[in-house]
Amino acid sequence: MTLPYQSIVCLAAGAIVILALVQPLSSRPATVAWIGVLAAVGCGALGFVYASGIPQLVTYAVGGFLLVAVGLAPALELEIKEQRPEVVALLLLAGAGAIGLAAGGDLLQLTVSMETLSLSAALLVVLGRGPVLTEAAFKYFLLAAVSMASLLYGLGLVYLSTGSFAFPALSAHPSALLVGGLVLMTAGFAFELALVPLHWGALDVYTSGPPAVAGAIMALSKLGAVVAIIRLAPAAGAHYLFVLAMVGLLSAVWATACALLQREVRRLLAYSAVAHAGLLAMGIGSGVAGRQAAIFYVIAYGATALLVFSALAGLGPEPIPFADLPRRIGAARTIALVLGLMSLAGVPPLPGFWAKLALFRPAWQVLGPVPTAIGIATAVAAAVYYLNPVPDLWNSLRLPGVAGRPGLNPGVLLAGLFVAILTVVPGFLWAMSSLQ
Amino acid sequence: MSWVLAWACIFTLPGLFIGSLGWIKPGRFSVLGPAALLACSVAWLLGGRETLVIRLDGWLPFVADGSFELRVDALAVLMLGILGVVALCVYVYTLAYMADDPGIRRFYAFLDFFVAAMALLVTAGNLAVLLIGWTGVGMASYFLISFWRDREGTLYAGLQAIAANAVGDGALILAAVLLPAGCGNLTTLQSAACGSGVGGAALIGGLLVVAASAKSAQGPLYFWLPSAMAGPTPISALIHAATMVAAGVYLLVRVHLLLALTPLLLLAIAILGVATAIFGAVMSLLQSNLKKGLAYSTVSQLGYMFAAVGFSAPFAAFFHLGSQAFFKALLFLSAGVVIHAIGGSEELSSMGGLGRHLPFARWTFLIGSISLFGVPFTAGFFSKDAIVEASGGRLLGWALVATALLSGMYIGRLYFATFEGPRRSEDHLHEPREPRAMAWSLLPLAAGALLFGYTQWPEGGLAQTLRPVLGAVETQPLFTFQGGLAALLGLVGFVGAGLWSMRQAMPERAPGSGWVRWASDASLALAGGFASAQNGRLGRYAVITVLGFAAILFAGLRA
Repeated sequence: MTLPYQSIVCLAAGAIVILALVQPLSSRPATVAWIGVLAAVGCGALGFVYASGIPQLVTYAVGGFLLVAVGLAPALELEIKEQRPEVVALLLLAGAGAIGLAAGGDLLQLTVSMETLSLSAALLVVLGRGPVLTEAAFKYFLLAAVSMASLLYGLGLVYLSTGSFAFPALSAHPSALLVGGLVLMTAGFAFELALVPLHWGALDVYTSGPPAVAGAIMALSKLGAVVAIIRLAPAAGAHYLFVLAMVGLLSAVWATACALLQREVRRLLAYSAVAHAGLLAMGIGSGVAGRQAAIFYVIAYGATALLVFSALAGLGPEPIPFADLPRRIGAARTIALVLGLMSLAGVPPLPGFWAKLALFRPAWQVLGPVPTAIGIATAVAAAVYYLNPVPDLWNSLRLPGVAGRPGLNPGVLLAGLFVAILTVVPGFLWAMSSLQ
Repeated sequence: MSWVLAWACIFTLPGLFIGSLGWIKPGRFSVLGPAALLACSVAWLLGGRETLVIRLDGWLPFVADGSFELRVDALAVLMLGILGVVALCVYVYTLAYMADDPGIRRFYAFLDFFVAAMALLVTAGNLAVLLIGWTGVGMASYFLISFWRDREGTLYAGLQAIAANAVGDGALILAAVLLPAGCGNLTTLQSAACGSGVGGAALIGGLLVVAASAKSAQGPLYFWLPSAMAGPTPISALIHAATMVAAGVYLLVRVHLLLALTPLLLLAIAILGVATAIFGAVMSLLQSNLKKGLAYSTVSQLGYMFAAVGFSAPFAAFFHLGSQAFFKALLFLSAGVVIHAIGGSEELSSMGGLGRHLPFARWTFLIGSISLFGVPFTAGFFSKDAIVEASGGRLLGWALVATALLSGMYIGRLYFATFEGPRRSEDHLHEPREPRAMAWSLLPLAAGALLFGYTQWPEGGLAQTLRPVLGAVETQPLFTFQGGLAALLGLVGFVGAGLWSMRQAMPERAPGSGWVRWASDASLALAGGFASAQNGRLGRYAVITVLGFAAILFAGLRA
């Protein structure tokens, strides 16, 4: 697998252009957004020309996610309006980091990309929003540093064992040194994935970050981390894959239980992100078909999460009770939000359900009945908390003042389109997620 | 006509969209949806009765049976017909019942959504499509149970329904997941290819039974149905009596060949059904609320159908599904007239002596009652008799005969406590007349409750229609000893309990469902414990993160 340099260069070039022109651009959000759109489209197009297989899929997905995120840029509520260009530039850099993390050619590229991604994410949360979000961003930054330590230590161990930074070859009996190194590296990536017990920073960022960027951070970091773990973990042997799946199961159970108590939309989404991460880890531990399912899952999840967060875009960091939402975001976006929540809940025929269906089949074959049954139980229990707010949302749709509210934004339209396509023809994404 | 019926799931969608736009009065356009459903089903039955399978392969490449498959056959069309009749009556009835409710437009939107999902469930050809309809009706049920969101208890009732549904959905997902590759659709689940996976046919069958009993409120999963009565009465009639709760039975009838492979499973279904039939009947006797009394009666009647499936008599199960749809929808809608008239109260303690003021509701309720406990030559008589007959003289069959006494008692108690005797409350009637739309919509159901059984005469017409799907069925005699005995017991119970209850004060509170409350409290306590770990302190987070790395490393190295 080679790194799709061209796409990364395209994104980085977009970021550099924006950063170089910050001063003249800061008063023109539309121009900034158009540069971002251009870079995102270029990322996918260059991937189409120069990449193949999973790296190609990753460039498409990152390009798509960035399109949605950049489309939301004009809706960003910033305390310091002049910093909008920096936000878009950081989004593009985070996208570049995600591509590198997913498709890096050797372990060093992976490490650098992970750092690019998590630093951009921490900055994205705090930038332009005054002192309110500093706490969340600082926690995220510090915990990311701890994970980075694990990652670097693991990298050192792998280097000691194999003598190179290349991806270690699969072997039936990997040495303990190699296994230890790979375990520490993948655990570092698991921080980006937000697996329990490494989920604390991500949870805060998802909860308090502004919706317009939280969705992008969630989608990009999960995508990068999942593909990176998929590429590294099998070399550590079947036992570690099983451990990973069990950690995933623990995350799913933990986060589902916590989410049951939440009465505020973003905290709910944050816990659900941890639950989804758990299911993804289960998929990674479920053989080749499970890893294919995990890639399928993470892209379907990213599109859905972006739909939900686009619908919420423009809201400040304070908690929002469900019944107030339609008044704040208008009728059309409320409907988009409900659709996204249903997909996250795993209501057929939405993509969130297809992804779960795809994932549990290999889980049954590899992990056995009990873990699969527990996984399915967390998935269906999720319906309780996701659907709980839906009647409130419907009921307040017809309240006075809801109809005239701001309508759809480009992000909702685009993410809605992705979700609709995945609903009707999920097969094409499944074929593209193949690891062969 | 088969081509049109295959897409029955979109019949009500125009109503949903046009109704939501708000150009015309709510519900007026939506009525056309179920009317079309009914008309097309009748046309199919009168016409060529052609079986049609629409199949798009490779839709979901990640599951074994991942094609998009719709199936129109006699079983599906009859179920669609029943759905069409009951839905049409309920739609018309709702025009009057919900006329003053500010949420009536939303109500019709949910109704349309429900009918669409139910039609998809019925026409589903394989598990993947079935899952869409199955989850859809569950969601519609939840939305409509908690329709009056500001009323106390509706939210909790809705969440109970979701929780029970989740158990069933989980079982169905598991079944879809573990079907081995090369396994066909719902009608070929009994093939050797499908049974070759882990657990074989018994496991798949068992999972489908769990799913069905969640949907049909059987055994320990009964608890949500009585609570579901918090929703508006038309919903109780359509979703929680006639159609959605019967979906479990429909599924089991659909896969009866798979169930037949495992005799032990059949026995378990029969025992489950009979036990639930008795349990529901006893619980109905203890209710203080008219609708909850009827709800437990539904639980009991669905138990009869499960028993029929367990006796390997899918035809009898479907036959009773049809009659129950008519008489139970009729009972609920008549009860709705009463509730409407006395201003919304559902408590028996505020009823009594209403027959003088509401003659139409009284007679229709009485017709529904006699069909329910099986007075000879009504629909319920024939279909219950078919079930008892199918038991082949086993003890379980005789238990069902004896349950007729309980059925008569509970429905007699409800009827007499509502319509006969003295008024228990001093309040004036809120609405002394019976609105015309409500009255008219009861008539077709009353006719069905009396006459549905004659679809089977002469010469087993209904069974002949279903023969391509369910196989040949022996024609049953018009009158049997057990049938007569059950009818006699029912009549004794009806009159006895009626006379007794007319003079009795009604209980204030009814027994609740203990284990559900306990389970929900326990899970909330667990969740509270988990969530308290997230206390915002960075030091603790960092320590746990480092310990987490260490734990993962330790576990990963312990090979």
